[in-house]
Amino acid sequence: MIIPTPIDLQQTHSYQEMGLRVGKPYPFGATIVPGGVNFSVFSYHATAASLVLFRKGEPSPWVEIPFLPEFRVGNVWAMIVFKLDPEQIEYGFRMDGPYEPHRGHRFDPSKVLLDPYARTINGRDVWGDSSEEDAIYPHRAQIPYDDYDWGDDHQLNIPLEDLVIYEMHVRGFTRHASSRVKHPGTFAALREKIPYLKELGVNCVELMPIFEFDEWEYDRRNPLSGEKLMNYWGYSTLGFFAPKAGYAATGRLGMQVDEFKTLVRDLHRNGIEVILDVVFNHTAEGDHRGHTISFRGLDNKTYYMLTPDGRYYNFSGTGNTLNCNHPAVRGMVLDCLRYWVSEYHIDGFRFDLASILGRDLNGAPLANPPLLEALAYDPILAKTKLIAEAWDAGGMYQVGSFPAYGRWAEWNGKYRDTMRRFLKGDPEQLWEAAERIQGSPDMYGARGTRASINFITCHDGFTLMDLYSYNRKHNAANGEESRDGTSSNYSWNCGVEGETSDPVILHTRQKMVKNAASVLLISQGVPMIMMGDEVGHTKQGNNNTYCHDNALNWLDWSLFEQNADLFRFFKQMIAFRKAHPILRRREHFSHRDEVGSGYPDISWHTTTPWATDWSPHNRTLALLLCGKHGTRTGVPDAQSDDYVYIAMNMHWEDHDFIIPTLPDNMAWHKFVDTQALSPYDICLPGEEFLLDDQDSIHTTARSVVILVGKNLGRRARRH
Amino acid sequence: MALNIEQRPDCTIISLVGQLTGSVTAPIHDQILTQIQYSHPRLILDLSAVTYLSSAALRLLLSLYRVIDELNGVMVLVGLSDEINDILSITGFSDLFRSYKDNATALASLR
Repeated sequence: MIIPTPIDLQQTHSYQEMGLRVGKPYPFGATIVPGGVNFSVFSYHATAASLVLFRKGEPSPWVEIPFLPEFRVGNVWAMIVFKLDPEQIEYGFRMDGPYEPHRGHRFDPSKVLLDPYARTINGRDVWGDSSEEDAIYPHRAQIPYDDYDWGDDHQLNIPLEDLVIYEMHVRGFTRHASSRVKHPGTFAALREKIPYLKELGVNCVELMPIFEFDEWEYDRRNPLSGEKLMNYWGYSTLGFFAPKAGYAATGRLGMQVDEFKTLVRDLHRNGIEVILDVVFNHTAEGDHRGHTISFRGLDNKTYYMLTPDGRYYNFSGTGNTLNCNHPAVRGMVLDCLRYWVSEYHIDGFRFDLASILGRDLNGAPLANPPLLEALAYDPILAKTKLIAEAWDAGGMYQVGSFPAYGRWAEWNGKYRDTMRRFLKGDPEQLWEAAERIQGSPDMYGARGTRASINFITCHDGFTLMDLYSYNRKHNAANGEESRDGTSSNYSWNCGVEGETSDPVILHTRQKMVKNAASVLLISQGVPMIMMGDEVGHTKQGNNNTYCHDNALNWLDWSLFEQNADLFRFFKQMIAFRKAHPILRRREHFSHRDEVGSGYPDISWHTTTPWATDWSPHNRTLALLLCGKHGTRTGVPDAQSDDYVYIAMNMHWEDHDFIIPTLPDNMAWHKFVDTQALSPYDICLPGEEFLLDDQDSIHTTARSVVILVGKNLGRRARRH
Repeated sequence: MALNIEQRPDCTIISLVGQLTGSVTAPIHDQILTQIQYSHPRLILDLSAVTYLSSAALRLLLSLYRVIDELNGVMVLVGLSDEINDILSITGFSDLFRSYKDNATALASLR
């Protein structure tokens, strides 16, 4: 069948030398059509609109074309402009309407406004290039080609329970000179380093914000060094549809779309999914003192949550709150996520301060938030992972209760807090730690283990090495007199605050890091590791490095040699998790013997087997996973597995654990002992050492031992 | 932007000179296609004198490649500067093209 194309594609109107035609209201934004470009923009409250065209890079407009009355459908202005070369023009909108802040309107026809649907944004296309604050249109929309040849690429659809997420910052990963890449700090460089990620064994990268933002949006300096502070992390979106040009080696050429797609394609080729950290709770426009860049000038009252007298609600802690459950804004969020999934093959999203997405137009929590429901049931997003940071800065804390619709997973903040306290030997932690290790059935009983994204560290807070090097935050360099960043770190410096050459303290720190890695990677749920923790990256005790474009945030690749044993430990722990389906359950444990093995699927022990001691001052805990229950994990076609026993001695004294007896013909083999020096701390999964003493193990203070129970018939070495 | 055409018995060599941007891609595309309207075309595209390659130019290369592939032909690139080679690689286009350092090696590969 031949699908007819339009025959009449000629102009019907003209303005100065430009040929025009009534546009198509949908899709919003700028779309290349035969012979020209279709522009469409909506505003409920604007009274007039015009399209402002610039020749690329020129400070003043080339031509400004008013939208004629017949170009308006409802509250949408749409027109086709003929004979435009998308490579040579940049565009914006100018909107007229009331300036009545007390009623929520802030129209300012002196401003040229960025299209909320802009798919590439120029102006910050080389990271850190000097700021042009005086420009009338600093962040300029351009129209990219969306004809990338993906070959046979598609979303990988790795089951959630099989993911090992690596949270990372695109620039920080390769900006350090030690990375030895061709284009440091870019998508291209990340692509060059894919072999590193593969060797570590992670199968998902979660990229901190890559939507266009302005790294120069702050006007503060580091009080220690005098350096101008940057918005380095990027949690401040200018345009939700545009990849950050400054993260692309080809951003100066306007090819960031192709560069980022090529990165996604090659990550997929290597079995690595891509999750984007998306920030829909606020925009870069700040509060009433902020700049008018886009949304504020297009339709302030629609895009932002406002008080009855027109002030900005600040549930995000950054000055404004995007009005996510307004039907038009909800539509934009949905369009945006569909775009990233269909056009960029993104595998999942982590929603920053996602509780805001569950607030109504006045900020009140909704029982059944339409946006969250729409995302959960959207056909294009049907196989896309949805992960909520289930709290906001307005006091909503929904960890365990985020509206899930059978789809949403959560950053489990309680996992982080409990495990930190447990790992450093706080009293009264065992019961809750046991819940967290089991996938938090107390929180996610009906939702299964996969609702829980487990992490001990993330970009917010200490690195794992700093968690065991500092008792308190050291944030002076942020220029906020250390008011910023949490003070609830549940950290322990192991004896000295910060750097030390004391070998005993250094060994303890290494051991604590390995304890944390062990427990994280044997926990049910989805583990997330922060970039650099696998090699002991430090931020010098700063727990909120959002504003530093320096070594605090740049991964130092020389650590890879310096802390080779840590890297090896993480790598083998990840491999161990992959090797054992009983560590990757989909359903919660039943605590019963469901297969006639004589063992329940999980059992808890103390230094004495089959006895538990949840008393406040006990700090020893062990668990046994019955391998025969590998068939009962809730995952289709799951296989029987080895038995796994994990002894966690979080006490400051040594303890002997009497270990449970295995079925006949099976014996205990040692996989991990975090007290031992490398290479005896961990081995290759499958090559565990047969224990001489099958009845008990000795654990030193603050250490984790992992044993594997398997048939004696298999290859085994004595140790 | 200039375009030099050398018709040889076994192939067509087209050399592009100057900046290859969106505004020139359509006429160049048409000009090149008129040179290869025969079966099993063999095209060597010499880019050694191209000083700038825009996003649209990448599409031009891709489009030519597809047309020639459809005609059961071969298209190879020659004389890529380090920078252009880098851009092709970073943007994923290099996977689609064979490239050679000069016409002699390209010709040898076509034999």
